[in-house]
Amino acid sequence: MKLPILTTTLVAIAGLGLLAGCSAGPTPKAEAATREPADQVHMDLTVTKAFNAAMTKAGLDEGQRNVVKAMAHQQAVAITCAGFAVNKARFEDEMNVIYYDDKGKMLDIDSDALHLREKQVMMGFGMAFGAQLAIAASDEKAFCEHAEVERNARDAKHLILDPPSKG
Amino acid sequence: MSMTRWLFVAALTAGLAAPAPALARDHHRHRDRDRATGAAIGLAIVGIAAAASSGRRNREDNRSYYDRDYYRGGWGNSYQAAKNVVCYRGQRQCYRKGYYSAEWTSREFGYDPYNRGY
Repeated sequence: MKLPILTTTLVAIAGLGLLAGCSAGPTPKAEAATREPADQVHMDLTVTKAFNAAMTKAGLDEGQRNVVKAMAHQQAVAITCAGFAVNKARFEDEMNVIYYDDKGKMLDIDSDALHLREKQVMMGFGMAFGAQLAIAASDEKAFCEHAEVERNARDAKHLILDPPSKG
Repeated sequence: MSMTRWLFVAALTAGLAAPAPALARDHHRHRDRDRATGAAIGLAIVGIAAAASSGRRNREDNRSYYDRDYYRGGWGNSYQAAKNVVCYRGQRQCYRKGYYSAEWTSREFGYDPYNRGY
């Protein structure tokens, strides 16, 4: 009688172990990048944290902050990488997002408040732009190769880089 | 919390929690003292928690964008969204091969500022 009980117990323990092993295993999507971030990622995350804090204080929501950062990144690309140029009209059009509130209505503020917002956004743009230039300087070739992939992304939003010239 | 208050709380806690003198044999006195000790320890724990919370709140209030400690790593949970693409949930940013990716950031943490109901 003892043997079946022992066997059952062992099977149960093995089953629990198997279950624990399965549940603890990472799913493909959730597989964490457990390594420390690369230096340039660490640099960007650090600046982004300051940028987000400052821009949130200035009243920009997440979408607006991402647009400003994407603009700064692409401006840095255009300065750093040969064969890249910013479409000025698209840039201005994208930056207009800062004149709207989070409901999509144009801000109803006086000119002083408007100038303050513009100054704050310019400061944030400068932070992100400077960070991207510094990051690019660490390895221009890799930075520009990445920019090329981004420029060719079919579903990229807020893209202000002109398409590559043919020939 | 000031050092004096810490010392006071520590001394109070240690004193009340110390072993009873050999002369205190009376059962009721033991029980009363145990109750007092329990209450004092409880109060001390609450006090310490409140002080820690207050200190944390003060640090939050005094924190500027440029505080050094605020920016030391601790980027939290990250995951691989695709080959060579790593995203950070805390900062809601994605990087391809170590470089900021507006494309993947938008894809993973989608928020279209032009699609807000107008």
